[in-house]
This record gives sequence, C-alpha cells and structure tokens, in this order.
Amino acid sequence: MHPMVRRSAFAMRVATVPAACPARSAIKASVAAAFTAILVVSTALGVAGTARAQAPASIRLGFIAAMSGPLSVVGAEQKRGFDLALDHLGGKLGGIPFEVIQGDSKANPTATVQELSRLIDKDRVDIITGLSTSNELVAAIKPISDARLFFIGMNGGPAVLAGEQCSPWYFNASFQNGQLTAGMGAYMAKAGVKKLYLMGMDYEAGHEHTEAAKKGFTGEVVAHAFTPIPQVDFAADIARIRASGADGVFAFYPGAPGIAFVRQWNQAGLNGKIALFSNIALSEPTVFQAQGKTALGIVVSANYFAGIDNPRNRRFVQDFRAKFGRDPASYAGLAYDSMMLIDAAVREVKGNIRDQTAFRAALRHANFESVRGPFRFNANQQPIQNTYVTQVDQRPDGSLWLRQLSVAAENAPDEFASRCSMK
Amino acid sequence: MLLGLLLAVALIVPLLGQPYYTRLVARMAIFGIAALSLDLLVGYAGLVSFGHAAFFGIGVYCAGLLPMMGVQQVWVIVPVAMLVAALYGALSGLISLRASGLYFIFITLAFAEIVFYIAQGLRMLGGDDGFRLPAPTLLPGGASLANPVVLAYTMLAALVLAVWVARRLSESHFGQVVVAARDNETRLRAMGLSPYPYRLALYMIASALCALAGVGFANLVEYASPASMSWVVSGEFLFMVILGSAATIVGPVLGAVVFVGLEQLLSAVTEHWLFWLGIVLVLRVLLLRQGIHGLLAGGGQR
Amino acid sequence: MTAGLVLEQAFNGLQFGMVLFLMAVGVTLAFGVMNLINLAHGSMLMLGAYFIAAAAQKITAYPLAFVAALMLTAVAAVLLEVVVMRPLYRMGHLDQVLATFGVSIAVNEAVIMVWGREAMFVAPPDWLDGTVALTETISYPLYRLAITAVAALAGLALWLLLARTRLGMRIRAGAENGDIVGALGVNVRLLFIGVFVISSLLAALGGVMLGPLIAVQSGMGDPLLILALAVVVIGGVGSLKGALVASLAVGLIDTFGRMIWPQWLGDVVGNIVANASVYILMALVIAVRPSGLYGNHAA
Repeated sequence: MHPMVRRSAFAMRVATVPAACPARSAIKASVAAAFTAILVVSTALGVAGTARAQAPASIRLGFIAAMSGPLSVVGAEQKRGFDLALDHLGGKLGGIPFEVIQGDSKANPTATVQELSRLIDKDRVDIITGLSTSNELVAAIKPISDARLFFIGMNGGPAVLAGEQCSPWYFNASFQNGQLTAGMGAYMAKAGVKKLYLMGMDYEAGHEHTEAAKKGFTGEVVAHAFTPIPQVDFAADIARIRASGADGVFAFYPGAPGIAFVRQWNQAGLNGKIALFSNIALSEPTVFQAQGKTALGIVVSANYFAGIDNPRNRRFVQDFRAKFGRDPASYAGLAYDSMMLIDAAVREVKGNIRDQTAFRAALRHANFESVRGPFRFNANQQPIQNTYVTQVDQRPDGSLWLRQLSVAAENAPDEFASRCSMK
Repeated sequence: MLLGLLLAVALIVPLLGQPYYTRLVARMAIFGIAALSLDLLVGYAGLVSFGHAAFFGIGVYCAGLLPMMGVQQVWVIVPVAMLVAALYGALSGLISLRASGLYFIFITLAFAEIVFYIAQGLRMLGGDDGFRLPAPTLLPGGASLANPVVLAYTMLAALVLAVWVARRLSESHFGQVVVAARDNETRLRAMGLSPYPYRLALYMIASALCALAGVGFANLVEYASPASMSWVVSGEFLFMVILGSAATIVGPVLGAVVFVGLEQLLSAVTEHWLFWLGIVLVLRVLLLRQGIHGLLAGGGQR
Repeated sequence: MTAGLVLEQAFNGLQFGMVLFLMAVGVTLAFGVMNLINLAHGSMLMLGAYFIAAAAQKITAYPLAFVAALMLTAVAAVLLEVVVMRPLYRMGHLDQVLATFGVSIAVNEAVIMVWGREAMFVAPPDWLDGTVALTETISYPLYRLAITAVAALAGLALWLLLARTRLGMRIRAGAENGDIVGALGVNVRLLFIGVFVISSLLAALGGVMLGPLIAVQSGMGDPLLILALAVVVIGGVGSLKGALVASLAVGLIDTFGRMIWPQWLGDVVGNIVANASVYILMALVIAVRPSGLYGNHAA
C-alpha cells in the first residue's frame, strides 16, 4: 500500500479542525487578527480615498522601474543613478521642491499598467519617469498619454514607439533600441570580420538589436539565429558557431543569459579565436562581478559608458564610485540624465509645468549637459546621439572597465523617425 | 453578512470618482471569478489544478485578438473565449483526468506550459512581449469596458452571477456526484457511476468561467501577454482559493480580495514584498488551517 | 549536421540530463518517503550555488569551498525540515504545494536581501578549466565532462546507499510503505530529516556545479525544478529508475530538439515545439500510462 492511500489528501481540505491547545489558539487568534486587519484595510482603502488639494507648491514626480522580479537588477541600477541625481539636485527640480512617488513595474507589462494607475489616479503625479524594459514601454505609453502626462523614458526604446506609435507625451531620454548598436556593422567589417554569426534572444528587442547590428556590415552573414528566452545553456549554439566557420559573432543577451553565454563561450575556449561583439546589454558593470575575467576582450557598443570624458560625467562617475564602489552601468547614467533633463525643462518654464505646451517645448530643447556628451531630441522625441565602441578591459587592481575604442556613430538619429507623424 | 458588506463597499467605490480604487475593485472581482472557478475543481472535485492560468490567458488573448478582426461586442467575445477555453479544457481534461493526485497537479501544469509557449512563440502577436489591445470590449449599447466604472460593475455582476451558478451547481445532483467522487470514489463506482464524465464536464465549466475572468483582465490592463498564463499565476490562483478556504464558493472570492489587497499593500511598503508574501503563504498553511472564510464564519463549521 | 556535432550534442544532452537527475531524484525521494510535494526544491539548488559563491570568496581551495557549500546547504535543509516541512507531511497535496511555493518565493527573495540583486561569480577550479579533444576538430569543455561524471557518481553513491546499507533499506521501506517503518521501530523523525537532507544535498550539488556555467541569481533553480517535476511525472513518482531514464530522455530530447525542430518546422513553430517538447512528452506519457513509465501506484 502506498502512503497516499493512507492519507486521503483531498478529503482533508474540508474536514473540521481538531480543538486547538491554548498556546496554539493564541497564535491563531493573532494571525486571525492580522488577516482581518488586512482584509479591512485593503477594502477600507477604497473608501478612505484621497481628496488631495490641487497643485501644491511642489512637483510630484512618479518614478517607476522594475524593482522586484528577475529584471530588478536593471531597476536597482536605475534607482542608484536616480538617487545620485536627487543628491546632486539638492532636493529641488528646476528650483522647485519636489516629492518622489515610487512604483514597481516588475518587468511585467500588466503590472506596469496597474502601477501606473496608482501613480496617475491615486497619487496624482505631475510627471512620470523610469521604466526598465521595452515591453513595459509598449504597454505604458497609452495610459500615460491618455492621462495627458509627460513621461521621460530611462531605458530602451522599441521601434514602434519611435515610429508609428510615437506620442507627444513620450520623451525617450535613453536610446531607441537600434541606436545602441548603430555603426557596429561597419565597425565589425572594418575590424576584419568576414563571416558574421548573429544571434539573440527570441523576443522583440532581440530582433531589433541584432537587425541593427547587420546594418552596414559588408561581409557575409552566415547565420541570424534566435534562441528561446528561457535558454541559459548555449553549448549547442556554440557548437554550431564553431561549425559555421564564422570569424565574428554578434550576440545580444542581457542579464542572466548574457552571463551564462559569456562564461560558456570562455569555457569552450573561443576567447581570442573568434571575435565576440555585442552592445552594452551583454557586458556592463552590473554583470562584471558575475562574468569576471571571462568578459575580457569583448567589444560592446553603447550610447553611455562610465569612461565618457566630460565634466558632468566625471563628477557623476566619481560620486557613483564613492557611493557604490564600482562604475555605473548605462542604466544608472541614463536615469541620471533623465532627471537632469527634467530639471532643465522645469527650470526653463520656471516651474509652471501646468502649461503643457511650454513644458513640452522645454523638454524638446533638452537644454542640459548630458553625461553621455552631445544629446538632443529628434522630431519623434527620440535622442540624436553618439554610439561608442568599447572593449572590456582590466584595471591594475583587477576590476573590469569599458575602454573606448572608437565612435561608431556620431550625432545619429534612429531609423524610424520618418514613420512618426510628429514634426 | 460580511460578504454583503463587502459587496456594498464594492458597489459604492466606483461612484467615488477614484479610478484607481475602481480598478482595484474590478481587479478583485476578476480574480474572484478566477479563484471561484478554480475552487470548483479544487474544493468540490478535489482536483488540484496547477495550470488554471492557461484558461485565464485564453480569455485574455481572445479579448485581444477578436478586436483585431473588428469584433468588439461582449456577446461575441465572451462566448468565444469561454468556448475556446472549454474546448481546450475538454482536450486537456480528457488526458489529465485519467491521472490523479500528484500526476494530475503536474499534467495540468504541463498543458498550461504548452499554451504559454505557444503564446510566447507567436511573434506576430509580440511573442513574449505581448501586445496592446487594439480596442476594448463593448457592452450592448456601446459602453466600453475600458471605462473602469463600467468594467467594475460588469465584473461585479459577472461575479455575483458566477457565485449563484456555482451555488446551484454544488447543490445539484451533478454537484453531489462530483463531491461524492472526491470523498469516496470507490463507493461511487460501486454504485455504477463513473466520475470521469462528471469531472470532465466540471473541468470544462471551470475553464470557461476562468476565461471570462481573463476577458475582464485584458480590458483592465488593455494588454495581452504570455505572463498572464505563466505557472506563477496558476500558483497565485491556488493561493487565493486556499487563502479563503476551498469548497466554500465565497471563500475563494474573499481570498482573491485579500490577495489583491495584500499584494498592493506589501509592494507599497517594501520592494522585498515577495519575501513577506511567501511567509504569509507558509503561515496560512501551517497556522490558519481553515482559511479566512473559516475564520470569519467562526469555529469549525463551514 | 556532422557526426562531430551530434557527438558533442550527445555529451551536452547527457550532462543536462544528469543535472536534471540530481534534481528529480530528490523530488521523487521526498515524495516516496514523506509523501511530500516540494516546490522549494529549486531553492536548494539555488542555495547550493550561492553558498559556493560565498564560500569561494573566503576559501581559495576549491574542494574545501565545495564541501563548505554542501554543509551550509545541509544546515539550511535541517532548519527548513524542522520549521516548515515536518507538519506538511501529514497535510494534503494542496497545502504542500502552497506552503512550499511560499518557501520558494521567500527564499528567492531572501538571497536578494543577503547578497543583492546582481548575479554572483563562481569560477570553476583551475584544474577543470580547459577543453579536451573529442575528435580532431572538436574540443569539449572539461568542466562539463566533470559535471556529468560527478552527477553519475552521486547517482551511484545513492544507489549503493539505498541498496546496500541499513539506512537505505529503511528509506526504501518507507518509500514502499510508510507504515512499516514505524512498525520496525525506526526513528521516523530522524529518518525523515535524513531523507530531506539527502534530497536537498543532491539539488545543491547540481547548483554548486552549475554555478560556473549559468548565472547565480535569485530564482535560478525554478526552471530546473519545473523540468525535474516533469521528469518525475514521466518516470513515475517514487521510482528511481524512472527518474534516471526520464532525466536522460528529457536531457537528450531537449538538447537535440532545440537543434532539430527549428530546422524541420521553421523558426516560429520549431521554437514553440522545442520549448514545449518536455511537456508534450509528459502529456503523451500520461495519456498512455497515467502513473508514468515506471510508476505502479496512484500517487
């Protein structure tokens, strides 16, 4: 006889509970009280709604990013850049006191929409910034536009939002996905790659990034492969790369799969045999700890990296290192920039952000000093900026950093601007 | 009594002109329906399904896909969603219901994962990113479910209807056979009754009901993505059912209400809310043996 | 597809299958002996990986760090058994699923609270960091071979334990029939702790070895747990032989499937089938044999 027959599992669900001993019932009573409290509070919240006074003398800024869940690495890094910006701004946004209401997008489009409803409808924020992934953006722009609020995007930019679905309420202060890799095709050809193997994660951004890498490449593309999202074992793909005779690989793998890919690439002994290219998603400061020396030599393109030389960035990087003990990743730099952009625009309208026409114009001016160097907005409110080519290198103390090799694209707009109806 | 109070609150909230709380009510009603539908399986039939989110997802995708073909009417979308879910329920149930116990738990998970990967693989529908609803579902007369007030009242009405149907179902001969099969299958078989067709029918009903909740959810977030049918969502549904207490119909609805409230509260307080959610789950099982419903009903009687 | 590539993929599938086996055998043991469905089993794999990452920062000698990681996991397993798992043995499946789901969520978040969100670094030992030549043209990472070998050894050790020792006899008796164990005068409480620790250690061993291969971060064990559950169901709950056969089958089907299906069916359908292949296999097996390949009882 099997144990299961002994204990009739399902019948127990509705069986009555034996009388509890006093100690147990005390615990039970307190747990019960807690549950009841939660029940009451969670429903009473609805009645105790907010009747907040209109337009206080301060700005309510909504900051939403993936703070929990598998992509919270990105959100946490954005928060670091955001917090440093708060320090540097000294508690004022364009000279006006402001208050931050934080939201957690959980790297999930539906959670994003729900959280936005809280920021917009309940907390009545004036401006929203943040978001961590492309799919969050696609879900978020409509509710934000419907609410007639300005949103400043801190990370990522899917093609549709730069083109057909561009919105006057959406300013992308980070990059259109293709921009991260602009000019890499030509760079790889120039670096001597004859046979290129393109690969990436099988989702929208993966397609956009690898497509962008192909542009301007003059050699032969031997493969353009996509691996399923959950895949973290690349043994099979590495075997195929080797069999393909490629002398260069462009691989788009952010986060955990990127860590796995780089390690396995190294273990397969391909370091130094086949050139590995990517953009900043593959190898950057938040994964340096995990990739360690296996990342050495990888060439990645980026619109922001810690080594960019200008006064604003030197200060940012220095303070970031002092606070967090390593170089900022691009997520942090772009979050910092977004805040500086908002600061400049609020200053330009002298705090009168309720005048939305003027505020939009001020945002479009982007009259701030970007840590990434030159920066301005295109008609579709996506950036016009540089793309740099960098290589993972090692400092004497063993820590990794990105060394600039060249500039892949200068003051370049994205490719989808012409599809946007905004002028 | 409490349920009446809760319903009264739920009915008043949308009138306050606070879209956030109105959406919260809609959300609670939507998950209430989903949890209730799962309770039919878990509580009454003793069938622990770990793949119920698949049917929720089918509802979500139907509400997203039909408007692409120009269909927005609720009286087309809801029946289609429920039919598709019932069909998949029949297909997967035919195989799943042959298994029992642990095998049933994980075979339902397998069937849900298959649907998940299909949705994730459909690049024309955004793949893993999913897609934004091209247009909301419309009620007869043209009211749009994108309006939170309309959505909240519609889903509350659907919830009340679902509770009524579930009550009738549990009291019917059909319901009694299902419960008898749960409690003592051998005796039922000795009486010459095979529980299989009854369970299959119930499985299809529960699937269809969950798809209804999915249609509501798609309109709530105006987005469809594979995340809405991941195994984590299936786990959450089970959590709602047992949080409230299974086989009570109103219990799971309470569970859904508390779960949604808990998630909102915890994630507002700490970014490590998942830790505390996990702890609550463990405590519920170890200490609060009767669920919230049992607690409120007082003592041991259901 | 060249013969060399097929050979290399066979090694990859074998390695993947053996890691799955380490996971699955723990799931099946816990169910067989304690009647426990443990969704927190993936957390033990993750803890193993985190512990070796943490240990390696303090201890340079790999074998010592390896042992330290397993010992730490054993401590965590005992704590977990005493505090949470023990009362669950008597409860229904639904309660077990929920409570262990809760444990897994909490542990996933706890490692973030302790070690942060960013992935941790684990290096393979220097003496395993290289490649061996399979054929003249194809070399294979030594580390992956080592994983396969260690997992096979662990499986063998477990078999010896179960087949040849007194403890093993009791465990088997428990798996066959829980009542007998008590009747034999065995200290059931200790036996259950022992089984839980062994099953956790096997998962942790998988985590320790996967550490240098994939990203050590929160939730890393969950995808493997889901696959391991599929393996257990396919092989038949409680059957060690079933777990081994199904693990290897799933490992090979998954590895070769990712290569073959997209070629046969095109990228879109091919990737869907490749991703879902394990679950499709599971549905087919259950359709024909409702209690798995080697399961002979209703679980």
